[in-house]
Amino acid sequence: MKPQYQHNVTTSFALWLDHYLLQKGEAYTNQTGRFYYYQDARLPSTYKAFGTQYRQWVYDSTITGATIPSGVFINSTFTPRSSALKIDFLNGRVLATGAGVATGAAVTGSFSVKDFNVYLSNENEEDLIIEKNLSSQKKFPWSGATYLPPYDQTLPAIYIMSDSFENTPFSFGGEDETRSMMRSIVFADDPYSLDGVLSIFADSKNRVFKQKDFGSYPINEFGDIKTPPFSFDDYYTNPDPSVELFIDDVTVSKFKDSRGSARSYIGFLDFEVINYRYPRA
Amino acid sequence: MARLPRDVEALIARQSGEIIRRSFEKQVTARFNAIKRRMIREFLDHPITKEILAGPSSPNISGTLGGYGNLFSYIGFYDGDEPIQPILDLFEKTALQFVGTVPDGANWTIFMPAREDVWEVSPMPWASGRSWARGIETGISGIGQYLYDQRTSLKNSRSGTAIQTQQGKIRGKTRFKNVKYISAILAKYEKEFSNLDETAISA
Repeated sequence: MKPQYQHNVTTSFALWLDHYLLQKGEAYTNQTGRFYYYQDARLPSTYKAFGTQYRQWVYDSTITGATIPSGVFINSTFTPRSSALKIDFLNGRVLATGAGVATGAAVTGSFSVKDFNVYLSNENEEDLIIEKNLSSQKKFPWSGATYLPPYDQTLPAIYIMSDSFENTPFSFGGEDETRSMMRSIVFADDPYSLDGVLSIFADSKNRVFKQKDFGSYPINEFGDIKTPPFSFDDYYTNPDPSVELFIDDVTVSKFKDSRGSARSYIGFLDFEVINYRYPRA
Repeated sequence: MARLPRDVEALIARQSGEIIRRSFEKQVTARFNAIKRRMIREFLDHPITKEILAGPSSPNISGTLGGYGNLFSYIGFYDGDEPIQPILDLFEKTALQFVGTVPDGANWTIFMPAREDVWEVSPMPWASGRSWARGIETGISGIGQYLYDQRTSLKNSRSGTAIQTQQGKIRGKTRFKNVKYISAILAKYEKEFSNLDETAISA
């Protein structure tokens, strides 16, 4: 099936949310450090994975002050991104290939780590909060091995779920108002961070962001940028009314669990995103 | 036919509103009160309202949970909570206020709750920024049921300090089906109240 309107909205919303939090909240930390080799059975055998203690990394070049890596140092020689070196922003690692890279190579680099990982999810809220027990997979504070194992989802994080959408007639000629409900769950480590995220997004009511194609998601199968550098296409920098999505309402709440257990601090962000379109055209 | 001077016509028109106001007001108020009573009755007779009013032992008469459980515990209210009352209070506050006379008539303003007012007085027990009344229309997750089950288990446990039974997967048991609720009632009666415009004095 080719991508539909809701696919585009979900992709656009996820890109906007990530950018907005990083830019407005400066929700990232710059890091420099050593990468450690580990085996990853999911990778083609020609690739060697060198991981760090941190993920996800910032890949948006428009984030002021963030370090977006274009390569790493291998045995003190800078090696830029190429077909032989992929930068996996989602798993916080580089993937190197070629005979010149030994498993014991000294790999170092600089990057920015998001304070909140962002995930698209199809799961229900109760699955995420109760049954998945995500709080056991925190990334901060981190101890143990010298790298984070790949693919697991780690906290703090924001899970984005496309909930529902509804068309209502808007004008003659078949124009409808399409209202999409986008829900997000915030898992934070402390009340300060949770309050920060809820505050930032409560203030996002009436903001506009651009509708992007589903295929314009900037990350490829290696977790690297498809066409580097990636710059978020901000509506306020480059306005285009023909592709605008409007945040009509935002509701933020904290999860109150009467058991008072020491799980993550959890909050909800409920967005209503509207667009005027001709769905039957 | 002879015509009255314009200033006399204007004066009559101006004064007639004041003269007929009392009779007019009686009729408008009676019709307003009848519509208001119907609106409150429809709210109280709605299956969602009835199910929540019936508390944690009610069957799922609204059909929103596929017949399993009930909305009171699914939303996660505490025993003894009265979540309907604040909404009922809002509906009761619907009022008619005389504004002034116009030629051959009078103006009234009708105050009735907006959807947003209802959302504000109907917080989820576990997330106060969210409205359960709105959730009836947009969807409610099963977190409330989980918390309710946990509270019940805790109360029934021998020690009173630990949860002794693990609840099964919520999703496997219940699946919430959205229905139109407050928005539909308010939209319907907003229209009915606006029809009061057509009220005319009967002889």
